[in-house]
Amino acid sequence: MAEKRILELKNVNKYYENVHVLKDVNLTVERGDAWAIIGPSGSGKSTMLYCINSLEPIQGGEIFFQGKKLSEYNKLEIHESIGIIFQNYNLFPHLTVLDNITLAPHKVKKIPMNQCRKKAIKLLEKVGLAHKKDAFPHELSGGQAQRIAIARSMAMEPKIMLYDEVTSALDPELVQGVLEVIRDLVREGMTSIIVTHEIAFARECTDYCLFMNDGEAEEIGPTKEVLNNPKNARTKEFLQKVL
Amino acid sequence: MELISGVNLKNLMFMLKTGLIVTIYLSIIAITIGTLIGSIIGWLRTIANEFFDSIILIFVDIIRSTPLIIQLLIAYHLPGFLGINISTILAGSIVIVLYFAANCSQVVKAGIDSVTFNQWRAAESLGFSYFQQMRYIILPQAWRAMIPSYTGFALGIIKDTSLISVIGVIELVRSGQIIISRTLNPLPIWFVIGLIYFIICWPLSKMSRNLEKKTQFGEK
Repeated sequence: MAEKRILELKNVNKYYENVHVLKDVNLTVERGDAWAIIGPSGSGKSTMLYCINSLEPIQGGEIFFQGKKLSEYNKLEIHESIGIIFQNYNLFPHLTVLDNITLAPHKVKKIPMNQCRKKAIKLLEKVGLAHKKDAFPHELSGGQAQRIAIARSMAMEPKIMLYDEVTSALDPELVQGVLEVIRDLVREGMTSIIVTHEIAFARECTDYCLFMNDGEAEEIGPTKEVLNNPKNARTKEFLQKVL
Repeated sequence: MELISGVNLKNLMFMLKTGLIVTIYLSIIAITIGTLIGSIIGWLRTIANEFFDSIILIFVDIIRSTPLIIQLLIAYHLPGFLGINISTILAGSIVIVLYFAANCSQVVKAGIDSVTFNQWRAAESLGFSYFQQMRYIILPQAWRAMIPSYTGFALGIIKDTSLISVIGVIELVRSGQIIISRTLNPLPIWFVIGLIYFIICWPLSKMSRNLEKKTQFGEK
């Protein structure tokens, strides 16, 4: 059982200056699970992802990744093994699509360039954008850029993928293409934590759901239960507003 | 040549050549050493805490907010006042190098700052170390922002090396004045000296424009 747990948050507390952003958050993620994190803006959802990825330090509690405390890892190891996709894609504007994808595996993991290229092309085919390999980011639509960002992250062969409201900067007609890519990855068994406002997508695609409010994990459970029969009053209120 | 009849042409050419060598020497050390020091200072400012940054900024601001000519005059008189024995040209060179370094540091700092925090974060999230982030992600983008203003300062310092003549160092402009005092025919000499500056500066400005184009990756 222990080795099934890939990620565990125990009483995690996080402050920005004096603002208490995460309050005693607990979460256990097993290998292959897909989690949806929902909740109002400013409830700490994104911050939680940054903390899981060691992009932000935590001030209390512990995060365990593959049974070992995050603080015992080299930060770079964490960044390598946990992928994160941002709301604004953050592709590197001075590099082509292909270079965006190959740079990290080649320079960080020291994988030979021809191997990185082959891998990148495969990933590009998977996200349906192989024909864009020589394009620059400014030549892509938001939806394409976000799919490239996912391919770039996948090229590092992460153990977990974190998605930080990855469709909220997109025009409505581009959202589905990105969600499809995420759905495919989830179905292939990629452990995923998805911060999203797309409730329908969460319902269809994730196993578990965490509702966050004001830095607290207010409700945790199987997605269908949380979305269909919320027990917490705040969850009910939130779902009524967004559905 | 009729314009300078009665004066030894060979001596005048020698004068001009000496002046040119000094100008080129000053320009080269200002730009090379100045860029090196300036880049280090500019980079330090991006990672320094507030206190350390404000200390660096005091020096940078003093240099940037006083005329180079005043700095040169101070550098000329200060060693004697302090009882230090250094040559005028060395004192002048140090001032010019620091002057360029101060300006260069601002260019480097502003260039690095022009790259958004999101780029750092994305690079970090992929496992790049700080120096890899700098080298592969940040600097290639910062570069572009730096080139125009850096070139501006470089061209400026080449021309401003002439100010060192106020402390008696004979560079291109001063050598022109000396030649004119012998030939009493200023116009052709100033044209020649202007042309020499142009020949030095114009290719640099052209080069920077090409570089700007080359490093462009197109933005909306």
